[in-house]
Amino acid sequence: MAEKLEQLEQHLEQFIENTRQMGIIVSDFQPQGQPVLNQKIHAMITGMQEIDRCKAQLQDVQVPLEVFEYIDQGRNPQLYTKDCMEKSLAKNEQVKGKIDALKKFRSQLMLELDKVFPEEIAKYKAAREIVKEEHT
Amino acid sequence: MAGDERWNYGNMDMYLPQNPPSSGAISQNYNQQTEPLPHRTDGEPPVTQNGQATHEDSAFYLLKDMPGIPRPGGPHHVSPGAQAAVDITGSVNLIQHHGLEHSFHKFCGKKVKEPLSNFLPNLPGFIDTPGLQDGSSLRSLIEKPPIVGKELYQLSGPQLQGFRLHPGPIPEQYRLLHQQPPAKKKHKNKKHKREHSKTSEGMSVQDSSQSHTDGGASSTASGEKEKKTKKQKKHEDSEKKEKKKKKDKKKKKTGST
Repeated sequence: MAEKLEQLEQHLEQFIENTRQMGIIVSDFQPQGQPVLNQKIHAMITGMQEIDRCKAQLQDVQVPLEVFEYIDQGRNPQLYTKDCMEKSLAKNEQVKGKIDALKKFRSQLMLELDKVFPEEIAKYKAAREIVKEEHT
Repeated sequence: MAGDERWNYGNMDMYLPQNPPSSGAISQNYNQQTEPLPHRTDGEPPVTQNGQATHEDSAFYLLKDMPGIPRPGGPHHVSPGAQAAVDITGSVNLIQHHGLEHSFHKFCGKKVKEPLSNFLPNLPGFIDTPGLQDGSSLRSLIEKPPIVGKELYQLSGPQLQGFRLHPGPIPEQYRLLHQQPPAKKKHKNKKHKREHSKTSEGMSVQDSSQSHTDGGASSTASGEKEKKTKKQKKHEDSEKKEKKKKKDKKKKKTGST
C-alpha cells in the first residue's frame, strides 16, 4: 500500500511541477516557446493518465472528512492526527478512571456484603472459582 | 452519494473501542442480565441458567452471570482467543497496546506547525489561504464531483492549434498565481548571533587586511600583522603616558619650589 501511495505522490509532484513550468512559460510567452508549451501539454495529459491509473489501486483508502476541512482552512493535516490522538488519550484516561472507580466500588461492596451475608459470599466466591477454573 | 458513509469519520466516537465482532455475544449477555429471571409458577424454586435448582432464598447474584465471565458451555460462551480480544478495555493504555507510541510522540511530543505550507513545503504558490477564497477547496470536490470515467487521450496536431498563444506577458490578475511566497527568515539564538557577528567582524577585518595586502598574503599572515600594529600602538600609548607623568612631576616640583 505504501508503495502505491508513494507512486501516486511522485506522479502528483511531477504533475504540479509540470504545471508550474507551464505557468512560467505562459506568463511571458515568446513565439519560440510554442513547441515547448506543446510538449508540456503532452506531459500534462500523460501525468493525468498516470494519476488516473493509480485510482484503481487505491480504492480501499479511507480519508476522514475532517482532514479535508483542515486542508481547506490552510491548516496542517498533521494537527488532525494530533487532535485525534489527544482526544483518544483523554477518553482512554476517562474510561480508565471509571473502571478503576467501579473496581473500588466492587471490592468495597464485596467487603460489606461479606460482613452481612458471609455464607452467601462464600458460596459466590466458590462458584466464581469454579467458573474461572473451567474457563481456563 | 454512495461513499458518504465511508467518508464519515469526523465523529471521534468512531475511533473509540466499540464492541468487537466477537463481543456481540457479551453485549447480548449483558442485556439479558437486566431481564427478569424465569420464575416457576408451579411452586418449584427458580432455576439458574446452568440448570442447578436453587432455593427461593438463594442470593440474587447466583442467579445471574457475572459480566465478562460467561458460563462455559452456555449459550454465550466465548472461546479463550476471543476472550483476550474482549478483555481489552479502557483500563489499559490503548495507544501503547496498539503500538502507536512512536506516532503519539511524533505528533504530540513536539509542536506541529500550523500552516499547510509546513506540511507541503515544495508546493508552489500560496497554499495557506482558505480554499473557499479561490474555489480550490477539497469540499467542493465532494459536493460537486468532477466528471470522471472518460478516457484521456493525447491531443492531435489540429487540437494543439487551439493552444497557440500570443506573445507577451499575461494580465496582472493572473500573475499572482505563479508568485512564490517570500522565504521565511530563520530566527537564530542571541548567542549564535553574537558568535556570528564576532566571526563576521573577524572575517571583515581579515578581509580588509587581505585587501591591504593586495590579496597576496594569507589570512594568518594578515592576523599577525594586525597584532603587531596593535602592540605598537599600545607601546606608543604607554610611552606617551609616562612622558605626561614625568611632565606633571616636574611641574609639581617647580610649583613647590
